[in-house]
Amino acid sequence: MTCVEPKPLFRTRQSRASLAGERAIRARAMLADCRLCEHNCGVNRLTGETGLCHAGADSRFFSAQVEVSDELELIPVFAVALSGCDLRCDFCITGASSWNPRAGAGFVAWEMAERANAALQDGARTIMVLGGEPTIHLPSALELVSLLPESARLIWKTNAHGTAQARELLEGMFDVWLADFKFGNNACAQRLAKASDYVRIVQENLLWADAHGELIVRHLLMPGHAECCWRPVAEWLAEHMPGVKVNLRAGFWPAWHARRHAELQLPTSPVENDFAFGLARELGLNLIP
Amino acid sequence: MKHRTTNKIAKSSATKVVSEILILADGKILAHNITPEMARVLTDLNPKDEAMSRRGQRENNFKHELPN
Repeated sequence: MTCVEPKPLFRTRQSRASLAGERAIRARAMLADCRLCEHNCGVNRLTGETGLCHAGADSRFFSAQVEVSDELELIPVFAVALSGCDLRCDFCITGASSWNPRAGAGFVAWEMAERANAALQDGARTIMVLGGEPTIHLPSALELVSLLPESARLIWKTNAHGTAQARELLEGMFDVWLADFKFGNNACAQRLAKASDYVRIVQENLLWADAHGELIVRHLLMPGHAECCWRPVAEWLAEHMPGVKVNLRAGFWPAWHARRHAELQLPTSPVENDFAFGLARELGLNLIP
Repeated sequence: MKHRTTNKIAKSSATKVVSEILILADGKILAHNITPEMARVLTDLNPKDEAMSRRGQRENNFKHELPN
């Protein structure tokens, strides 16, 4: 006969900070067989092996400052940009630092938490963790969350290329997922960002994020990609996530390795911008500034 | 050697406040990582830019919107 201890009827809800601390430890252990992003490299980052993102066990950051360039409902935001990324978008606006996990300064969670708290006290509305891509630095991101006040509104800015394992650790940690849906088809994703099976992966992440919290989807309109990328993204959002907040960004900047691609040499034209926003209105998307 | 240069630049941006702007041939200005200070400069340059003006205002008002 087995005696089972009855479960308490009321369990105290664990604080976000406490949960984040526990998950940070789990996330760090997962670096021994890293499958945080959908490249699923399976390398042991704890022993110095690196996968496609080239990130090791420790994180670095290349920017940490108050900014007002994100969505109006989020700004002013204290934005912490971690170095390194699992995608290789040739038009990346911060390519030199985003592609290089050794860029910037060493990330020390308690020091960053102090800076974030100071920014909150000075009036920042939100704290945003971004990259590069923060998913590849999940242990550090969770360590930071464990040191932030419960009342802080936290934003997870991601390329939506994470795995279910990563999402499990992220559940309940951030108030808003700010997720990119960059490419409307796998061919463009492969050619411009070296990403395979991109559309399925991003859609899976977006559906999860929408079901588990607040989601804002971003799309950077690229010159020459209104039909092949924006239209399928817009149509999918309209069909599968009606009402989701969408930020269509028309300020394409031919940065980093954009010159490798003939169509990415210039900003988008007024005609393309008009088409893109017209399509959004036609499909009834919930555009936000 | 190239790596060292890149790291040096990036390291300095980790400890400094950085915004970048791109001025196009037609006079249009693109900006990213816009700090409150840069928002004020851009608003001064083009007071008719409502979008930037709202960002500047957001920054001016935020102390009254917190804390919660």
